[in-house]
Formats: sequence, structure tokens, C-alpha cells
Amino acid sequence: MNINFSEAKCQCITEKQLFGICDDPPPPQKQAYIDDEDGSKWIAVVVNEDNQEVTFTAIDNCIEIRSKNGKMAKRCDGALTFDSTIAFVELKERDVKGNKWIKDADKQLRSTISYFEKSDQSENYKIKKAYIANSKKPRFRESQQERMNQFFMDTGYVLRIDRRIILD
Amino acid sequence: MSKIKIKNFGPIKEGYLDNNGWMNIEKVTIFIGNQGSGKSTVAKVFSTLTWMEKAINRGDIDWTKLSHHIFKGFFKYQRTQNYFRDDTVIEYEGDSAIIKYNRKLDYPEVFFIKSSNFCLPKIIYNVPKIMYVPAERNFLSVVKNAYGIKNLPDTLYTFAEELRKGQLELSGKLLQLPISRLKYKYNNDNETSYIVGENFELDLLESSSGFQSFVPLYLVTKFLTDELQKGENVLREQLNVEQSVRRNKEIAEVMFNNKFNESEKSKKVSDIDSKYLNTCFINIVEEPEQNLFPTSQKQMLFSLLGFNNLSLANKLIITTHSPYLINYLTLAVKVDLLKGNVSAEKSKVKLQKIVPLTSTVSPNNYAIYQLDEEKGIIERLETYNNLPSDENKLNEMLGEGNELFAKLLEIQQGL
Repeated sequence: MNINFSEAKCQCITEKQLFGICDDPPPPQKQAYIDDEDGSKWIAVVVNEDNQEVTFTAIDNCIEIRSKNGKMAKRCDGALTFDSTIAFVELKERDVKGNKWIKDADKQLRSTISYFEKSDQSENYKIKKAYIANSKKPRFRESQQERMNQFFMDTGYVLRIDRRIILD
Repeated sequence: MSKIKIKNFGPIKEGYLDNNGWMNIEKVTIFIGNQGSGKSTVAKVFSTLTWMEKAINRGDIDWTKLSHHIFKGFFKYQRTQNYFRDDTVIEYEGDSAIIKYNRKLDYPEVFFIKSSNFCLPKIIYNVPKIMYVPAERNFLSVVKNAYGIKNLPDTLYTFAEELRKGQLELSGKLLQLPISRLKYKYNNDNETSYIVGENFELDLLESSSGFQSFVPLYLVTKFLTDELQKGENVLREQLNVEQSVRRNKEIAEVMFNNKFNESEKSKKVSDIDSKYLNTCFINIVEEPEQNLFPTSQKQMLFSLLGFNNLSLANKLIITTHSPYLINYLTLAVKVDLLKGNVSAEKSKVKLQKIVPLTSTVSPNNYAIYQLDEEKGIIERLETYNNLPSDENKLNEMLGEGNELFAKLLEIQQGL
């Protein structure tokens, strides 16, 4: 099954230097979207210094990805694409104990990536990234190098756990 | 509350950019920044000026004869006398006096803060015991007979003196340490310090570097805090001969003055004592985290905060490279915010397990300053919901390893 990752109803394009990716809490279940006005709603912050034309594609609650048994597969919230770069993004906002939010996000990204890599579109991109963004404070930092390395070995994508997504 | 302004002194150029250059020194104040950025410089200037305020009040310094030369001389103790430049500005405002230094003035100026209206409460000046705990403190634990060595920094001698008093005060008794469930013992006969565990006793000289740094810090902090609780007789003994003669003379003048009745005399004597006797403790600690594992850093910080909370006027000033200390301070502030809203004993126990309720920090009582070694400027770390922002340099540096690792993976991806 070839999934269409570029459905028009799920996409929007921007050239803004700074914008956020938002995901309003349910109910109702809605797709993620980009916004350049209300910073308080931003979960991930995208820095697009060179005003590149960037496409945001909402995936969760928008693009249907079904596993073999017909059930809806785990999906991440969206993807940013420009030139030959694709960056899948999972947004986390709610309080989840310990690093469970990272583990959950890791699974959602891996699942989405595995379906995407089977699609024809994957050949259009050479630089492949994945982001887990959490707007919750405080953000005490910790080393994520083992997880990043494993993620890269398994998927070929460079994972960052960072609220800021810098497009370069 | 005290405040200080420093410009063009040692590594500090423009200094603090907000509030017309005035940095508030709160009950808990932390300085972070690269080495050479001036963290210790600010702590040392504050230490010197706080001491000057005390000495002027007590009459140790005749402020009417203060010259630029004499002023600079007070900085020799901290070995910062050569940090002065032609455009150096140092200003300090304490609870009782304002001190101003810059070369444009004919001489350093001293103003006394007094309530102008007799209806206003009297300005309360708590005479501080000031302790500067230098980073070199572990030297005293690693060298046998360290007390006899010459040409050490003066601050280390002062610290050593208090350490010695603290050791003698224990008179062989075991002192529980707040880290690793260990105890400390000092044997006066062979002048040796021991770390005591359940089944062992280890000479401090042979113990881990973390203990060698922490034990002197803990012992001196505890000794000086305890001393303040011991009452006037003990505090009076701390005066040197000259100070004691001066105090007795002032008291005699009151006692033999027939203009005053008994109640007035008693009030005046108490006022004189309040100039001479220490009533609070300003603990200025360089890198308290030295050589400690993070959980020990946490226990160390909570114990220093606990001592600091024993008196309203106490202050704890810290310079640090440890992101853990900022994280643990955040916990101490958060628990302070929560503990007022918690009434159930069960919830209090839960909070206490995270931060001892006697070690919490009120959100109005702390400040974190970040120093930039390239620009020579100082910024106060912003807060959100009364908590320290994570956008501090130490936290960012923890994240830097991840970002650099991602860059390596990108290079690998492009191979």
C-alpha cells in the first residue's frame, strides 16, 4: 500500500522566519497546524532564518496510515519538508512521568518513518531528521546520545529532542 | 537586602546592565559563568564591602579618613587590589550604609541610612559574621599540618582558623554528615580528622576528594551558625581587644550619664551591643559542589540552605559550575511554593522526601546571575512561574553534547 504523504488537505506552506507547530488538546481530536501569531500555543518553535519555502504536513488525525490488520497505525504529529530535507515532528505537551513521553514519541516517529520509507516519496529526500518537542517546563537537560545513535542505526534519521527546530 | 554595582573591575566591564547597574544580593544568590568571567570577583567585592559596612558601623574603620588608597587596601585580603582601573566604579548599599567608590570622587563616600521620621521603625542592621569559603579549602584536608604553612591566601587562613575552632568545639564527639550517612570525628591529640562509617574509620587525608572539600565547608558552616545561637557572652568573646575596649568605653559613657534613667540606659546598651555583636551569618561559598557526586551535591545544597534559613538575615552566596545546583535550587523553590498550600500530613511527608521543608527557598528570596566572560557583562536569569528559567548556560551546556552528537550523525548520514 502506497500511502499518500502529500494530501492537500493536510498541508500548508510558509516562508516565515519564525513560526510554531501547535496541537490543541483534545477533544475533539484535531490535526497539528502551524501558527506565526500566538507563541503561547507553540509546542515546537521553528527557526527558518533564510525564509525558505517550507511545507508542513499534518500526519496524525489527517493522513491515514493503517497497519496490515486494518487498525490505525501509530503516527507522529507532522513533518516539515523543504529542498531535500524532511523532518518528522512529534509534539508532547502533557505531563507524563519520567521519560515515558520520549519513549512514546520515539515509537510514533519510528512507526511513521517505517511507512514513509516504504512510499515512493522517500526517494525525494536525502537529509532525514526527526524531532521530539516538548513545551513543558522545567526542561532539565540530559544526555540522549545512546537513544539518538540507536534511532539513527535503526531508521537512518537523525533524532533531536529539542523544542527548537532550526532549518538549515 | 543589600545591593551592589560593579563596573570595570578585573574581568567585569559594563557589569550588570539592568536596574542602573545595581545587582540585588538576595538571601540566596548564585553566580554562574565560564572561568574567568568574574563570578568570584563579584562575590569577593560583595564580601569586602559587607565587611566594610560592618567595620564602619563598629568604628574599626574611621570613615571620615577614608581615601582611595585606603579603600583599595581593603581589597588586598581578597587579592583583588590590582583589579582596579581608572574607570572602576564600586557602589554598595547595605541596611545601614551606602559606600561609593570611583576616581571622579575626591574620596570614597559613605552615607548612613537612617529613618528620617521618628514614627518609622528603627532601621535594623544585623551585624553579619562574614565567611568567604575559598575553592582551595580542600588544601586543608589534603596536607598534614596545613595550619603551619605560610603564604597561603588570607581567605584560606581565616577559613582555617574557623575550621580549627569547629574541630576543637567537637571535642572528639561524632558529627553526623548530611551526605552518604557518614560521620566526622576530630582527634585533637594527633590533630587528625576522620570519616567514620558503620564499620570503618578513615583518615580524611586518605578519603575521597569530595569529602576533603565538603567536610571543611560543612563543619565551618555548622560551627558559625551554631555560634550565633549561643548568646551574647560567647559573641562578646569574639571581639578583639581594641573592639572590646571601644565597646566598654561606649557602655561606660551611658552608664555614668545621669541624664538617662535605668530603662533608657538599658536600651542604649542594647543599641551599642547591636553594633558589636554578630547576629547573622553571610556564607559566601566558591564552588560548593567541588568533587561531589550529584546526589551528594543535592544533600550538600539542602544542608547549606537549611543553615541559611535559621535566621532571617542570613545569606548564602554561591559561585558554581554545576547545573545540578540550579536544578536542585528549582526544587527548593517549587517546594516552598507548594508547602503553603499543603495541609495534609501525608502530602507534607511527600514534599519533605524531595526537599527538607526547612531548606526551601522563597521565590522572592533568590537570584541567579549569569556572567559573560567575553563581554564582561552580568545578566539576571529570568524566572517563569517564580522558578529559575532552564535557559541558563549550565543547562544549555548539558544539551550541547546532544546537539553536537546530532551533527556527527548528520555527517554520517551524508557519507
